[in-house]
Amino acid sequence: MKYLPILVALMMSATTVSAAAKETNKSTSRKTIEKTVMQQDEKLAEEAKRAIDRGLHYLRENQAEDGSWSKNVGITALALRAFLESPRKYTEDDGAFITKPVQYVLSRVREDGAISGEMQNLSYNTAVAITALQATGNPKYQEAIKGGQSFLKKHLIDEGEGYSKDHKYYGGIGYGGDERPDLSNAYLALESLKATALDPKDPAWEKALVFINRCQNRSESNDQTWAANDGGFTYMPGYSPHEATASYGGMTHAGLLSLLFAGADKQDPRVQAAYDWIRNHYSVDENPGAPNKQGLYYYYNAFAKSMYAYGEAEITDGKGSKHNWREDLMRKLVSLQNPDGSWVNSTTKWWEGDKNLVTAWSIIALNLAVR
Amino acid sequence: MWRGNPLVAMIPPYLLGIGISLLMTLDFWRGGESGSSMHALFLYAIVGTAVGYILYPVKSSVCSSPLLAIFVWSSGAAISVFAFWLVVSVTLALPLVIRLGLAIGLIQATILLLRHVIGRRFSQARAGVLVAALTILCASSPIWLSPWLEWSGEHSPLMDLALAMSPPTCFAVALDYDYLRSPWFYKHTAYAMHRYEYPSAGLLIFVYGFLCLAAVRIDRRFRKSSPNEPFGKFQHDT
Repeated sequence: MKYLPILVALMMSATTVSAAAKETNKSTSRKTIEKTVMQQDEKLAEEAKRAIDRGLHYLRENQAEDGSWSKNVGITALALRAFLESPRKYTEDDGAFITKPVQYVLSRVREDGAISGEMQNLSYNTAVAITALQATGNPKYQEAIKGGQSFLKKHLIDEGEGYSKDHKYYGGIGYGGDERPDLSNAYLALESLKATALDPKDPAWEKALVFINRCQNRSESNDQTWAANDGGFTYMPGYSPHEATASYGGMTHAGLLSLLFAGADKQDPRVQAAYDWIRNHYSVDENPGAPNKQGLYYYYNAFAKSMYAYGEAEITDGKGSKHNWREDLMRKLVSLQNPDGSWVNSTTKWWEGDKNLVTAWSIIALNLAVR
Repeated sequence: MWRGNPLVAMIPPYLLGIGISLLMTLDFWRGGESGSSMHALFLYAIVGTAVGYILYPVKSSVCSSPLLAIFVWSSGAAISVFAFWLVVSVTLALPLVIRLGLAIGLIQATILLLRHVIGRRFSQARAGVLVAALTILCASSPIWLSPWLEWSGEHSPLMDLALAMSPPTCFAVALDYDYLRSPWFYKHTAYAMHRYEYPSAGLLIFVYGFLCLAAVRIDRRFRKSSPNEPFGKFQHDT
């Protein structure tokens, strides 16, 4: 009996040592898993960076003598942006493949401030052009940028065009030239105004919010009779190219971005409603709500921008599963890249048969995913 | 047949034409989705040209020089756009309206001259129907060709050609107005989903100008071959 306390003490210490050993093992295995995940993440990020390089190489190979891509200001500006925002951070010092497209874009500056080589797509081209010019960081282009800003603000539909605030088009921006507005053009215009540091107090933001609200399927903030309540966005008030006024992926990401650009914060119920729609329809395999891969790469581009702007690394889908959007997008885009470094959509609607455009969009998306 | 001054004879149908065009366009515009003044002017150009063509007083104009009558009528159609501009949108830049007026005059002159020379060979009635049908066919090409053009891939020259041969494209180019992205066209044609390019103003002026000059030249040949034959009294005329 006299040895009992010693026996108990020995047993207790053995248990403690065993528990400590177990804990150490657990911690080691957790660290091993984390290390493996980090290594995988790094491996994936490196793979994505190589995909970006291959894509940029494709663009260089397919650049026209005058520095343009697809003989189009919009596509040229997007490709230029892909270079400037890439992990290699190309600048004008890197050579003619950067300076020539800049000059191409600048050579299309019109008297009214628009930057476009064609009469259609004026707003679209101007918006992506000033975003790219701003990305060069060169102060010499401020005049062209300010001109573009003025053009976009002037084309924002308001009283100046004879529209009152209760008109469904009020606050919107179309392709330019006074056509009906849509959320796709509006978001690109707002992105460019944000990128070029338009005064946050400028009335254009407030007017744009009126239009953005009217594109969201959220009856609490949308005064249109057709508005449903799933929180997603449609192409323009009362119309979706896919189904009646149904929300779809590309536009919901564009809508979320537009709200953030226009000054709404993450806690804003409109932003939350849009984010909930995105969570419930989370996918990198399709443009949710759009059939047959329509607008798929536009979706990837808007997806990357909106997720990056929203600022959450993980997103929990409607079924409760967590997703690292960066990894999902990188994996998907890497898998979709062609051997020549390009990306292209077999469904050619919305210009997605143009390899230069789709490659530029994909690189811009990857540039954000690898940051 | 009108026995007095043929130019004076053109005034009543001309005024009637302006009135009909104004009424139709204003009504259509106000009932439509777009409140855009550019869209209203574009519609006016189409309706005004169509009404001008229908109301052109063929019989009275043939009393003197039909070519002069066509020139005057087309000039009137061109000027009429300013009336519409004053009614709906004085805020729209004047140079655009001037360009639109020139486009209306050019299209009006082209289709009237074509009717005139074809009427030299056939009857004026038949020529009128033929040219009207041809114009409608060309004008609607972006609608009826768009489903067939989808297979031709991204930025097909066929799409650009179909767009160029449509007379309303002239009005769109004059106004810098992408009518294929107006609400109706956007919803009912596949064009907006694809890449397309409008022809340049220079090309359009060249093509329509060429058609007008060719028509005048053909008319001269007819006159030389039968100098005493009064217009509108051919054996085919019924």
